[in-house]
Amino acid sequence: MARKIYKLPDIGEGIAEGEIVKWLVKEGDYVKQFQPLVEVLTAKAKVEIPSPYDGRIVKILAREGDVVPVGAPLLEIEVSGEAVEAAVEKPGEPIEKTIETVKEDKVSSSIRVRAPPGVRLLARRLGVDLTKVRGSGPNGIITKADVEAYIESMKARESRVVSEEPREALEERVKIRGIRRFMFKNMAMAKQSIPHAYLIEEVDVTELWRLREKVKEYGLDKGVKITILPFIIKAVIHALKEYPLLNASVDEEKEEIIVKKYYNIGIAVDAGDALVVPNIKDADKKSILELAREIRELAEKARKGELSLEDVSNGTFTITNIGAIGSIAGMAVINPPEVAILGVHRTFERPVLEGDKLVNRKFMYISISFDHRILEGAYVTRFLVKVKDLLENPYNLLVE
Amino acid sequence: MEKYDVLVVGGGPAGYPAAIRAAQNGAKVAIIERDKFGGECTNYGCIPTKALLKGAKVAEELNRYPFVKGGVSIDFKELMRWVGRVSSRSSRGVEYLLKGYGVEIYRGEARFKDVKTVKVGDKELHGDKVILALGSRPIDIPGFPVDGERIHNNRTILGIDEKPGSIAIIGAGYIGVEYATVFSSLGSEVFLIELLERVLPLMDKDFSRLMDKILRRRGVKIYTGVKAEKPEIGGDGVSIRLSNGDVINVDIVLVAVGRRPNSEGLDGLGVRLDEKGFVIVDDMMMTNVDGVYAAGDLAGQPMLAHKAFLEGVIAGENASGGEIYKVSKFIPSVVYTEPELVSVGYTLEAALDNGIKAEEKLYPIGGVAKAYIEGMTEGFVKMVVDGEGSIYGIHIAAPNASELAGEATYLLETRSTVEDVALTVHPHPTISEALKEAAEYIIGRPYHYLLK
Repeated sequence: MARKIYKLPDIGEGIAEGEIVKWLVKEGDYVKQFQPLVEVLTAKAKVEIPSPYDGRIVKILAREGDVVPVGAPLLEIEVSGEAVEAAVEKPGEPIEKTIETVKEDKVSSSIRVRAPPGVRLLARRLGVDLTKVRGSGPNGIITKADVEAYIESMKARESRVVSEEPREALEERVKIRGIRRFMFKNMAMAKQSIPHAYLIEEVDVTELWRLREKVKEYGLDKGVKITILPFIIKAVIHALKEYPLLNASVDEEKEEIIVKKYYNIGIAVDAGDALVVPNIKDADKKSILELAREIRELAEKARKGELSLEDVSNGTFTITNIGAIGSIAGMAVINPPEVAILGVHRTFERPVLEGDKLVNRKFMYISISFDHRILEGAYVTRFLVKVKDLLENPYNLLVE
Repeated sequence: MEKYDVLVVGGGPAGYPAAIRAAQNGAKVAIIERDKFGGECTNYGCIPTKALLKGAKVAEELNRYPFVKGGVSIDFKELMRWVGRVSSRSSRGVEYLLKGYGVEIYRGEARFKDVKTVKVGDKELHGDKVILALGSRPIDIPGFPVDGERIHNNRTILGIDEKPGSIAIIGAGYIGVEYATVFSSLGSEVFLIELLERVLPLMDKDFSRLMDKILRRRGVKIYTGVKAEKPEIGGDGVSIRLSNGDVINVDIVLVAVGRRPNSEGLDGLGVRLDEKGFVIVDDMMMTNVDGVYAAGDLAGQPMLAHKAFLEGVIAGENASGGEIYKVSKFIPSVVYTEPELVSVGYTLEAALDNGIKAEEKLYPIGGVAKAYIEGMTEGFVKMVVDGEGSIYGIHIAAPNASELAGEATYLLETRSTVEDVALTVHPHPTISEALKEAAEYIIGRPYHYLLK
């Protein structure tokens, strides 16, 4: 049995390397000639590399995910059959032998190129591979003019390619990994499987901000910066209690809606390079102060990447407070397996006619994206109006 | 400390062309030589041995023709004096050229402080670039201590002033065969002892066969596959026991078993050597140390002067701001015997080993008129070719074949075909016609040779 190193073959036109996507065989496997060995992704396509021999895979020499150049060793194979055996004398040696043969083939082919020494020196200086140059002299002898013409044609070709090349040079490929990969999969799944529907409501938050101003000092005394978000959470929970189908998830297999009697309110947090949604457990049982404190803690943990699985599991409804950064309105994507998400947008000021006087009031838009498979517009609108009413009259939150 | 752009260590066939080329490029150049300029070739190798061969052949040639009356004899002392003059004239010529190109000359042993700083006597020299051209020296064999009296190497043999009545030559490589030719021409009794199975063991087998036949006819006693055991040196000669049981008694012994590079200590300076002690260089003749070059015997096989010239010029050019690469692939070897031998490119075995579907075609020299005039019709032109007429190797045994080595090498460097050779006019009558005739023969249409 002769052992051979099989290298990534020249797959075709200009392909210099490929990424090992998937091995279709493993060490110890017996393979037939032309049986696919490995999937390789090149710049142009994904291809399957077939086995050149019948034999047994001794060792796989390139890992999945590796990007390897043409000619790089892929695997060591113990070849069955006599033709190859005869070419290789002893086991143990063939690795070197194979390499040597390739090297010498190159030499002999370079010997066959017909060019006088002066032309060879010119080509060597210019880095031109003479096997690629067409000779115009008698019997195809390559002249200096042929080498120069070749250089010119390469330059012309390069300048044609230039317009395309810099674009790639100005790009950076970032691997989709970790938390971003989770977002990558989850958001695609949400949008593909959940028919989203959307509503937007305008909320006069003048009183809400006034209230928030009034309690701000109190909060700071307790060591917490109170924002409007805890009030929004309170308002949402009150509304959810009235419209419980929004605090739910879907069991698609059994075609059932699971209505939750607990309120774990997720808050979308900007964790630098990706979105994470930790949730406040039993938010309905917590005070504004406690909510504010917990929001701060969760956001902090998210930014440090210290969130536990528990922190991000079992949410029942999500609020994305994108307005804290900007955005006048927008439509969020539902965080599966939940059925709706509330978007809170930027507060802005607008004069309003009050009697016959123009007064300055604060407004913001709230938007809701909901799973239209199980929720219908009227129901969700009522929910949204409830939220709006509570936010416009925040003192009612004390009463509810 | 004296500072130079280029410091060349060694004034032999690699060093002096390197120094001259660097100086031609405007560099400030110094060269260090511990012995004589021109190195081994000019003083102990190519030049004096060819002079010696010429002297030996002159008498032999004259005696070969039936119309020369009266015996022609050689005054050995005068011959050796003339040989010395040829060498020293050649060596002085090298020195003259170096000085003429403004190269500063230092004489003495070079002692390296570091790879770019060298002490010569009490002077310290520094080169921005350094070219190592340290050459090689003969290999000694155990039991044969070279004393310059009874046991000689290629250096001391040139010091003898008396023709030896008998000589044992250990090693039947090109040096051994050349000296066997010299001393058999001069009328000495010659014993040629080779450890391997044939004379010229590293060359084409047809050369070995021809040389074996011709040397035996000259009276040379050839022992192949035989080892020379420890000699006994007595007052009037040397007694050598051979591994086949024979004992030979000779006046002197010449040890010619090969050469090794003078690379001792270079690895300590950071210069990388291969397992045989040669300095490893790239195709610009640069070593692994930036700005340090090596050329000639020090930089690898074959250890031949014309290869040293090539590499010296490349090193000199690159060390002085130029850019030149070793693109020449074919180094011819020449053996100055009767007839002379030339070999360049692949032998048939080497071609087949390299996966070329080659065959060899041998054209006997007898068909060439000039060969007969030269009094030597034994010989051949052999080409290793493929089915398309591409030439991979040329091997010539012919009178003055050395003068064809350049053409043969050029044919290979230009990758000419047998058709190209056949279509090129070669003057008549010359030995060079043999190349053209051989090409015609390979094509199948020779007109000076009857195809049976």
